[in-house]
Amino acid sequence: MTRALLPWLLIPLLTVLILVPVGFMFLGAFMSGALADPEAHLTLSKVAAVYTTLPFLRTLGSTLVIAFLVAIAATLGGVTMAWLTSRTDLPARPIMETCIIAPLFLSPFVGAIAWLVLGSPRAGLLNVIARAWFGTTGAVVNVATPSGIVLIMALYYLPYAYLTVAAALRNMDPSMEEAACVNGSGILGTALKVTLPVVRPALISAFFFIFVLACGTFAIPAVLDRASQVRFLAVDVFQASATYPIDYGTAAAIGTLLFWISVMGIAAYRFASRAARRFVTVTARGYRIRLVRLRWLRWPMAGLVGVYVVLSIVLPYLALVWSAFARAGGTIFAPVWTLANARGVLTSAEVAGATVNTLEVGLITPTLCVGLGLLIAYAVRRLRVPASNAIDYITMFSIAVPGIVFGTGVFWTYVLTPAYGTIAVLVLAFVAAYVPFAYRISDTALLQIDRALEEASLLCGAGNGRTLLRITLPLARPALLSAWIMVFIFAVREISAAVLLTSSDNVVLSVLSFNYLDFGDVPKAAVVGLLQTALLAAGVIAGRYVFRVKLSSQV
Amino acid sequence: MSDLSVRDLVVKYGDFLAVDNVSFTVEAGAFVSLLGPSGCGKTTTLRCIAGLETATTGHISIGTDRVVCPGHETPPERRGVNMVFQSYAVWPHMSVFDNVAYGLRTRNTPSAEIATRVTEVLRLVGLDGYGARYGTELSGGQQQRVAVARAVITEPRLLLFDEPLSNLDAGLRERMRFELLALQRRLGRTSVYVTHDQAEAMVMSDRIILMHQGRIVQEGSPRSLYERPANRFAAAFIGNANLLEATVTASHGDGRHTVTLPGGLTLEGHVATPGWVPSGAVLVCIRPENVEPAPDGIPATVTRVSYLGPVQTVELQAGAVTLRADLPSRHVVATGTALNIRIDASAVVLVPET
Repeated sequence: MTRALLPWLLIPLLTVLILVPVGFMFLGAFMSGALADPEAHLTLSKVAAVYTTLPFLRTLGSTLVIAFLVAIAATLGGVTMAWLTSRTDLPARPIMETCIIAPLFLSPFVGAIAWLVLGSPRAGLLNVIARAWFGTTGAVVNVATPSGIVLIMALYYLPYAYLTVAAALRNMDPSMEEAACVNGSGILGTALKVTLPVVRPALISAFFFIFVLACGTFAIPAVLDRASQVRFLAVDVFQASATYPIDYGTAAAIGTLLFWISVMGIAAYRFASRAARRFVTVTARGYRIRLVRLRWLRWPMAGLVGVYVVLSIVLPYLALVWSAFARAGGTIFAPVWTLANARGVLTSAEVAGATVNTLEVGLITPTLCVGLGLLIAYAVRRLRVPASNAIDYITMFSIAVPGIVFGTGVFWTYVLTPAYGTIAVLVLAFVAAYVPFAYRISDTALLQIDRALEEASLLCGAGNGRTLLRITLPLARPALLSAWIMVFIFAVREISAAVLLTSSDNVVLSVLSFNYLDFGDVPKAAVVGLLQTALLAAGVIAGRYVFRVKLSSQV
Repeated sequence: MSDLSVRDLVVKYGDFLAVDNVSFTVEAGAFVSLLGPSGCGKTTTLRCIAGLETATTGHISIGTDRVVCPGHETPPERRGVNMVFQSYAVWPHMSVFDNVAYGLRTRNTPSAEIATRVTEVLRLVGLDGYGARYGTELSGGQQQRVAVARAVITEPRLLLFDEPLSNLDAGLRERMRFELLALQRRLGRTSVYVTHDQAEAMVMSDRIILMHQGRIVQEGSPRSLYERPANRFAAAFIGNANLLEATVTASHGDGRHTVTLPGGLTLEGHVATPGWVPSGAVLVCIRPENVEPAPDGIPATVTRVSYLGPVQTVELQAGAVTLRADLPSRHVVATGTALNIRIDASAVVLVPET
């Protein structure tokens, strides 16, 4: 009974959630004005301008080039670190691994604010220090440049490449490497001739995944490029819909462009990861992994990981703390600490409101996502409901839609409804964006549960509902909790869709921080950034130590 | 009265016929095995009875309820059957007590009654005092008992077993055969047992349904299947058999015939398949233990001897015919020596090819 009805529930729900916003964005791209505007009519002018005229094509070009470079840099960094932690005798490997993936659980947006404090050409702390200690003139570090943007984005996307490649390396049968060694290849030779080709599909899929993420990135270029004049599609979408003259049609048209890039990137990613699965060489026998001895390179290599941790976590948070707690009069050499700024921000009504909003979004989104994801996985994988393929495709479709594009679509869809400008509209956008993650994790969890466990429950007289509740859910609990924590992190740090859908009533911490930054108030932005980080950390720590969730393998 | 009736059951996966027109009945209180090699459709048939697999066409009735008929499938939880799985399927997140109590809780049984009945069933399967343990803390044999306890406590109209012993080691497997059978006899539950192990089926079953390539090949008591195989597959799958191609040269009525083997050797044999009148080429089935040494018998040469303790398996060459004989070990037989043998006419069974 439920089996036949479920698709009639899921398909319309997923269509409204995921397909309708994208459809409305395409509609918006062909409109001369906002939907509420009675004068608005269908037109080709916006699309024609975006797809054929120079300023937009130049933005497209710089977006693609930057995303390409970010993907290359992050993949190279990730593969190096993955090899170091899973194939060599690097000291303190478990701690190293935790440090390398830690940026995943932090907000790239907050990181970007921190790097603005550290590396802006004149007042940036690193430049101030360099001038004082080494007598340099001008800027030693300048993050407000294309290369600065590329490097900072690469810092925050490196863990994605790391996880993909490390998983592939761990699944590889080390006897392949041993065979190469026995046959006379050196360490480097083995790594390049045997290890690398075996993990190549994982590497390629990591590259495309990061490329798609980077193309749709809003936060880092939005924070850093105000001075640099580097054009970025996601930032253009925001500017077209948030700064004067407001042009929602153009925003939607740029959104469609970004959408096509993502669709192509995801297609390449899926192709590569399908190839990657062919290369899985897991053997059932328990083998002891033979580690490569780094000898005198051990500590320098550990230093390399250390540099990454310093650049991605230590320096940014020191900078945020300095910015949040140092009085304007002092210098980095003679800081005058104060709590006045922090107290002022934290006790303000807008921060209190934004914290409540963030918590609401941060608790409702993962709950809905995991519930929906599990229901979809159960319907598709277990009940094999009719139209399972369609349900799977619609759900996974939103992977190909960058946050800012979803923001645009959700804006066009709900702008005339009472939901617009409320928490609900943010939750709608976030659930749509993150339900594939919850679905994938639930699906993997279901695959690992022996069907007989559920069948035994049916035969004991329990129906599908009771079986799901009493057997499947408890058995999938660890995976579902880790999915919940992942989506919690995504939802708390999300900014690109939130910034498009913001109103006075639904400001979340990331948007508030962005607004402070917009007014040039970096200390306030830093305080809010630290507050947001505290929320993320609380979530991760609760997950890790209270619920004993393994977070690393699930991204 | 039959407790289970399966009629014209067909299960198709795409173009593949997993179950091809299977019909049989199981009388109340009987222990019936579905026996066959892997892929013969026995497990699919069992899962159709349980409701875990959807029949393409066909009818299944349990007691007086029609659970499968065109356009209708009773969901598994409402069929009043229970099953013991190959993987035991003991829920790892529940204690032994909770595992066994699950079916009663689903039926909203009062908790006092649950406690007494679970204790009673755990005693029955020999898991007294294990109630607080978790499934993962038990050995394979103990998990098996939990699975059995969980299945019988719901007092199912039909008890289904899906190769429940195949994951146990050999010694335990033999013990569990007798335990399961004793339990079934005590409870008197109608049982359908799926296995690929012919020895297991022989020891446990009142009746064996032998399946091959989705069809029923033969059904009957273990003795009738062994002594009167219906075709080449049945003869070869159950026990060991010398299967020789022969020609009917004379018929004597009453199902008795004379056959000639390659090389001109003639034997007296009989037909075991009712209604079948052999002519021309037939198969002759001779069980190895029925090949006996006899001084005035057919001359043969010993080509190989395998000593197994209680018996020795001897390969003999009698003219153009190779025969396997299981002889008592107390006579020492040497490779290359001559040995005269005889085969009683009652042990020579004529079998159709299919």
